[in-house]
Amino acid sequence: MEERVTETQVLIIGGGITGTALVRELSKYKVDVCLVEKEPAVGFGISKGTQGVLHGGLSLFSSRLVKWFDRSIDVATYIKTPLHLKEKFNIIGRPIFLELESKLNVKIKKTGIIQFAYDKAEMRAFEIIKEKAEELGFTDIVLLDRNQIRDLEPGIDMSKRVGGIYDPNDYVIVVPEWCMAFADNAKQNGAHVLVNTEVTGIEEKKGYWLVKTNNGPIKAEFVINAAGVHSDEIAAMVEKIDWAYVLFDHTFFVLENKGYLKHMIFEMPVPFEPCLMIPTPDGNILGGVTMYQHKIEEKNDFLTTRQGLEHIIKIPESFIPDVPWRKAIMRSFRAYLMFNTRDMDDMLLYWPRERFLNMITCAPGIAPSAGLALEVVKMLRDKGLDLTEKSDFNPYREDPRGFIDLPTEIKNAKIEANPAYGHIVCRCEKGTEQEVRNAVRAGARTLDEVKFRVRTGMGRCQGGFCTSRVLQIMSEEMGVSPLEIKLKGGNSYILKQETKELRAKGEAV
Amino acid sequence: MSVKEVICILCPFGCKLEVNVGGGEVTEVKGNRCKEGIEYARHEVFSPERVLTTTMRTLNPKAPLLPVRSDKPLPKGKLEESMGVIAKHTVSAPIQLGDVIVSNILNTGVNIVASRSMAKKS
Amino acid sequence: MITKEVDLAIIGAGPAGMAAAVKAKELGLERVIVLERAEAPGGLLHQCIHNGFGLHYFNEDLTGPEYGERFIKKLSAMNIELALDTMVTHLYPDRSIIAVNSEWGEFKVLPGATILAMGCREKTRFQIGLGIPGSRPAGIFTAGLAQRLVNVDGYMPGTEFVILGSGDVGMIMARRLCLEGAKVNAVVEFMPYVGGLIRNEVQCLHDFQIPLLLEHTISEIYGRDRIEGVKVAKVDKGEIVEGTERSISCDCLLLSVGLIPENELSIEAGVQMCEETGGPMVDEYLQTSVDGIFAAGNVVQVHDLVDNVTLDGERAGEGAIKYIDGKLKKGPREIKVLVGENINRVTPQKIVGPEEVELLLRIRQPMENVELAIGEHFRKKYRVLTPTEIVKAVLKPSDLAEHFESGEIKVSCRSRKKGAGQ
Repeated sequence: MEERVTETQVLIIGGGITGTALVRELSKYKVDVCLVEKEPAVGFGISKGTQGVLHGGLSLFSSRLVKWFDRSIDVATYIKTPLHLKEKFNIIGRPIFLELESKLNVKIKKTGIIQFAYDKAEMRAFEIIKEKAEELGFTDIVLLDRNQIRDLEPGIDMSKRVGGIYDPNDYVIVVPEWCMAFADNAKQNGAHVLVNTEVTGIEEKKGYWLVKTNNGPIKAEFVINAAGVHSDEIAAMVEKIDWAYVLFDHTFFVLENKGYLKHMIFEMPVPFEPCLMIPTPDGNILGGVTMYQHKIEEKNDFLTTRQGLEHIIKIPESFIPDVPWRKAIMRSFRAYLMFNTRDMDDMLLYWPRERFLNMITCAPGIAPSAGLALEVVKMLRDKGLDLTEKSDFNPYREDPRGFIDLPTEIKNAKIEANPAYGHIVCRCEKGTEQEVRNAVRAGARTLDEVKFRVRTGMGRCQGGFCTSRVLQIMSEEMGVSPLEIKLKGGNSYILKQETKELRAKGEAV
Repeated sequence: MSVKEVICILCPFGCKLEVNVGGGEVTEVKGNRCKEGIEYARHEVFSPERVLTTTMRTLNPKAPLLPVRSDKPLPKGKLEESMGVIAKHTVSAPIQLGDVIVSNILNTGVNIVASRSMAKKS
Repeated sequence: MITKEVDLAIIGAGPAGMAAAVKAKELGLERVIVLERAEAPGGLLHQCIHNGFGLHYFNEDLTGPEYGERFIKKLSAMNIELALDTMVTHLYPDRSIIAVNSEWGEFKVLPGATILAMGCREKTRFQIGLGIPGSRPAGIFTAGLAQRLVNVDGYMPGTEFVILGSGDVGMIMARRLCLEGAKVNAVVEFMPYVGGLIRNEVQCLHDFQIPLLLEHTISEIYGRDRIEGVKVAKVDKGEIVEGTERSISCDCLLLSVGLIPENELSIEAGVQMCEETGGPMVDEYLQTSVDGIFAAGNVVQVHDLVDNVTLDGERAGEGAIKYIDGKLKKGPREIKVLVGENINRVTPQKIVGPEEVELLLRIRQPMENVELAIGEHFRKKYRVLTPTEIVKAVLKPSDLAEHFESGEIKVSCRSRKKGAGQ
């Protein structure tokens, strides 16, 4: 099933939200486009650990507050500075996501956002934000007092919080799902998406780029660097870069949501520690600190720590004290946000070479990806790439899951035609055998990718019931023994060997 | 004369027994709270036995393993070798619970029998 | 959609569900259906290939499959409808059920009574305290899943193991893995005593020279894509002792750290839950707070012996029939059963009828020379009790009579000797 691509017109390096949004956009045109991703699936890099917020009027500016609000700078002045590139693209990009929800069959959850103030100074800063947001067309933002907040979210402890600001129009997605949706749709429309393909070197040739990968070299007219946290390494392959990445980490709990929270809630009681609780599209809550001030050195350091977990559980406990959060823990993870040292406020978008484009993204980067995609198409056209629209572009992608939520008649018709839909293999999330098969047919080769497509393994039991069954189905569809199936990238094989193998060989460990 | 330590498993007390052995006999048992422990200690020191329960490969890809067991306790020292013998066997359906699969394994007088029935699949 | 009207619907064909079905049929109930999500009945008995089952119920030492087969044979012999590969997706307060399978699609069941027998799920690494910190690599399994992979599917999830938790499942798996030629580098146990039977400590750990680290916990998991090892640390009074961390290498970590009764359907139906057991509040007929919905087995509380689970299932089957026949007796009032000193949990949580009642309870920590006290009259002495076993106490009507007045009966126990628990 793995195709070989040796030549393309536009080569995108990186299958995160930025790269996949772009490959889908380019697949609307009669141009040969190829995306390479080093992990076994798109969305498995830094996109995997993001909180998934599609920022809007309020949260866009909250992002500004997050980074710079140490209460010593003049907030009013800072808020009124011109929009950054990433903010511009965010404003363009978010409506595109909203429009694509039904076309690509990926979930978006409308959560709104409430941000809390601990003192009058913060309330004043909120007023300035509200003004600025209104200038940009976000007119539904309101300031709230204690009682109004209690009406919206009765569980929140308002004893130390004096009030807040509320934007009903904020949204949350699960980013890897969107990466997969973008990539699937791009593939439907003729784009190439190669996973397990890592760029090892780039050479400038006369009239083209030679991009070396672990699966052979690819000739490309244009190269787009959308490699997320590795984009500095890719950029360094063609130029001496004068910037580096600074990484800020966050640790989050995935918590059960038994009606505890409806809206996204956010505050920064301690400078540089923005606390967040997000109701997710899958019915859970993400709770934690969105970025720590301290920097982490190792790009692959996704380790949670005891101190980190002990610190983070206090966030939901402080927001909503009456819920036994410690008993509602489903999972915890750690990931990070990145910023570049040339401009800590913004992303970088520039051509270090003719026909080599750097998309050096930063946080927030999700909604901007759709806006950036449009911009890059323009930029490519300006550089002379002939982009004629396809008349037969198909913007629709089938729902990879959600079988269980269909009306009974449709369910039963599908089961009648295909009994594998009637076999539920995931007790917690109700994923069916056929949906697992479909996921493999759409390209999933790892348990994690099946998890993001079908939600098997994402529920309360975290794979206790479904793992055995999903491995069996994947093994059948992939035509390999379950011993060859991995959890995610690298060496993450799930099983070691057959029972009896050691004894039959007369060996023991 | 030697002293062996044995933990009695007959009840939740789990008495730690000191067993004095001399001339091929148990001469004294210390640490027991009841007399059943003495008999257990004797047995465990001279002829420790264990029921072996394990699985055996089948020729049926849908049910690749059949649970099997020793129909009587095996000498403790023969467990590993028995596992090797069992690893070299395969069974095929139909099997009835209790069928003898390996008779008199390693000349112990103990049989390895099927722990479950397995019907022939069409 | 297909609608099935039945006398009794049972959710789960594990030992509790099978026992309930067989008992109900034996007592003359006509239409009994059992809805099972796996491909075969028997629940976890299939993968529990070790012996030790049936010592009480059959007076024999059987393996899990042998024990299960006795009931499976009865299911087919007694014309009990068994729907396999069938997932119940909804349970409503009126006892009705929505389920899905390949044969009938999404269908409805309208029962005279419903018995919940869904068993438990296992705690994951994320639910031990705040979660075991470190990386999130492949190679971490709950013991039950590993057991299924090794004994049913035919795959070893590793070759060098560390096992967290010295309950019986963990110890049994330790032996199993060693028998199959793997190495178990340590069994790590938080408490100062082993979590399962002494027999298993001897025959699973000592026999194979597996180090048992009491009063230890796993403080970190490391390994990027696949686990490479764990850090273990001593604990004192539940807290990690600084400076005691050391690494143990492994390519697989098994977690035997606790079971959670699987009650999402119960909650959907509005069944009142009990915090101590994690299961529904039941009376002595195993009826829940919702009329006509009964519960049996591990879904009510984590059991120790499958023999007790079978008895539970039979009791629920009897209760369901009594309910259907309108014969469920109620006494002058209900008695609430209170968890007192040194007691972890008790079922039933409520007593309704004036007949004899059997309580099932677990104590908090190992105790010697124990006196169990229930209410004003019941007293029983034990030489030794441990929290791993379910203790049974039969209360006669005379033990209960005056408690109908107060509406309460307290269960407690004390040790008459200083030392292991007061």
